Amino acid sequence: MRSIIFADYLARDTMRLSPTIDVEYSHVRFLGNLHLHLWDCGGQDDFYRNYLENMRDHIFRSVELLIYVFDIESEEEGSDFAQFAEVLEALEQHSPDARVYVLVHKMDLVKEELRDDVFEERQASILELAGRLRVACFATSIWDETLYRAWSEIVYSLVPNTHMLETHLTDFCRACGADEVVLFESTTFLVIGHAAQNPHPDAHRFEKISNIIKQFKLSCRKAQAQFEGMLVQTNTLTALFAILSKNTTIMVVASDPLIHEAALNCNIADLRNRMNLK
Amino acid sequence: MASPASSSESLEERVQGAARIVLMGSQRSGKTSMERVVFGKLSPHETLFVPATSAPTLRLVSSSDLARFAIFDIPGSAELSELSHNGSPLTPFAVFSRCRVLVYVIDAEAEPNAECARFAEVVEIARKVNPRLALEVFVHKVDGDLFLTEEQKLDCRREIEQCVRAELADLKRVSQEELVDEEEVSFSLTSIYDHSVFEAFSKVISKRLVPQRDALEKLLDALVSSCDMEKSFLFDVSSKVYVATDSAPVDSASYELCADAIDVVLDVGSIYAPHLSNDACSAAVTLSNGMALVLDEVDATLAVVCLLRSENLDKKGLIDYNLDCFRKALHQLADLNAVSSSNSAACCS
Ligand SMILES: Nc1nc2c(ncn2[C@@H]2O[C@H](COP(=O)(O)OP(=O)(O)OP(=O)(O)O)[C@@H](O)[C@H]2O)c(=O)[nH]1
Ligand SMILES: Nc1nc2c(ncn2[C@@H]2O[C@H](COP(=O)(O)OP(=O)(O)O)[C@@H](O)[C@H]2O)c(=O)[nH]1
Ligand SMILES: [Mg+2]
Repeated sequence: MRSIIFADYLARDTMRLSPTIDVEYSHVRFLGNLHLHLWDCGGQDDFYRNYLENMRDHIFRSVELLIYVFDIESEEEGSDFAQFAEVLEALEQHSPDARVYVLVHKMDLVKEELRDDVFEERQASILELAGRLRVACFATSIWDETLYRAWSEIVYSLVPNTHMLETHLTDFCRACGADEVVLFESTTFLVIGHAAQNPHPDAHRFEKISNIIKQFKLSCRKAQAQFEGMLVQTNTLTALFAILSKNTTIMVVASDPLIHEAALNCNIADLRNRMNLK
Repeated sequence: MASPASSSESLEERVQGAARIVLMGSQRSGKTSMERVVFGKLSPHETLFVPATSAPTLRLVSSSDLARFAIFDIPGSAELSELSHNGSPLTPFAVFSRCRVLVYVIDAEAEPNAECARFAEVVEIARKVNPRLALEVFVHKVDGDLFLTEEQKLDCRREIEQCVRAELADLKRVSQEELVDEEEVSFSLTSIYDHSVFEAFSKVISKRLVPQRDALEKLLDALVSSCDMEKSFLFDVSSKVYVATDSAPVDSASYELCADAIDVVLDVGSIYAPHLSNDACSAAVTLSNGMALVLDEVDATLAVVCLLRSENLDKKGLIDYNLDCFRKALHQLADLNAVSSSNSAACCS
């Protein structure tokens, strides 16, 4: 079983979320046959005692991945770290192979010129506590795409058969004459695979796209609709977003003006067949 | 097509020549924040750091050939008579004579009676200088804990509306000339945390500041009917305020969706085509509820966005053809506009 634990909190883009009480469990079916079991654990101290003592086995057994969120603004840095150390200890005991992702969150509250230094310092203290566990740190904020950068990496690490997926995408990209293709999970719009024929200068473009489309999906939802697809064209660009399967959306980017939308759609249908998706 | 007027004028001349919105209201009512959020791309949470305005500020916010206007942000901390602008005292004539619309901002959580009385004082001064000045009240910051439901917002608007009407009726009674009619003020509920403030400015601008308003409405009506569309807007791309729409009523949900479509299309476009601004962009978006959006940049600052049933998207040739006609007609209108405004400028000098 794959469990992801959300320790402390994960930001939603709302100011009115009430604090998570105890553990909220949810089950997400991701990419057809990958099931994620999400445990969003409330961050208040009382709950921590409970996780670490009474529910220790239950929560920390067979964890594939732990996501721990630090609030950069928190006034109780010392006790935050002590709690984190206890969580890591419990994890090391029950799931020594788990990967740990630490999000240093609300970085928007730190002045831009100080952000790198503040983060480096936090990262150093976090990595000191890692022990035998594999720990990676990310600076995040709900106000920009950094949150998507962290989450994309997390989800990517959980996708099975990435190699096969990317082989399909590379063939597809070449067949279309496209510059780049990217596969997104449709609900979260996180990247699960990509292939490129031409290099692109912006290394953070996927997170930006996740963020942009996710925002627009929220607008669509307000209008009682869901985002299905999009075609953006200029003299030198065709960018097509289309549903590939029940849970995935593909983006194809081409700069050759001779590449036609209809041709891209044919190639997408063909990819769907080859990957056995419906 | 460059207009003859815009190339030779200096920025100062363009600011002076632009139609004006005057923004007034008590201090901290949110005037500067709304101007920065709508016309300066500031994100709402960053307005917490906007300092109190110390002097009247005139800023050109749109300078397309079809809708050119400036916003005059008047600080709420002092009486008009105590302020100065460009080194000279700020007379009512300097504020209101060139102005088309007064947007008066009232904080929804402030005490309404005092606010409405101040508004009536401003109206009296303003109308004496400029009897044709249009009056708009924005009941602002309707996003706090007191305004969780639509009902609560409407109640607040109703209360302020009644209070303003009573004040203006008093003013009408005591003033000799017919200064104002209490029925002519429009009221909008606004917040920088959602689309309401963008929509409120859209209404003001499309109704009062676009000289070719009727012609634009007819052009959009023609586009909608020939392509079987549901609704169309002509947007100022950078502010996402619409400068014109067809004659069908606007519902907020359609406006929001069309405005957000501009973001998603241009943001994705600019990642892959960094020189997007010199390259007209067009796009189509399909939704699960059988609707679709079409977007087309008609010049450097304006884009038309239409809402239609997705089956009508199949007639792409027809849509492209009609959009092309629309674009050409728009350019002719813009040229006309430029000629007439340079003529009137010539008359003045
Ligand atoms: N909740 C909420 N706060 C807002 C809104 N608009 C502005 N504010 C806040 O109100 C405060 C005052 O805003 P300003 O824009 O400086 O007000 P002003 O009317 O320009 O004030 P003066 O320049 O002193 O006349 C800021 O802290 C803004 O963040 C809104 O729609 N909702
Ligand atoms: N400035 C800032 N505030 C945030 C950020 N992420 C979350 N918040 C705010 O922090 C508060 C608590 O968030 P929530 O997700 O409910 O925390 P939880 O109790 O751990 O589940 C909310 O008011 C959020 O708006 C961020 O990146 N920056
Ligand atoms: Mg101000």
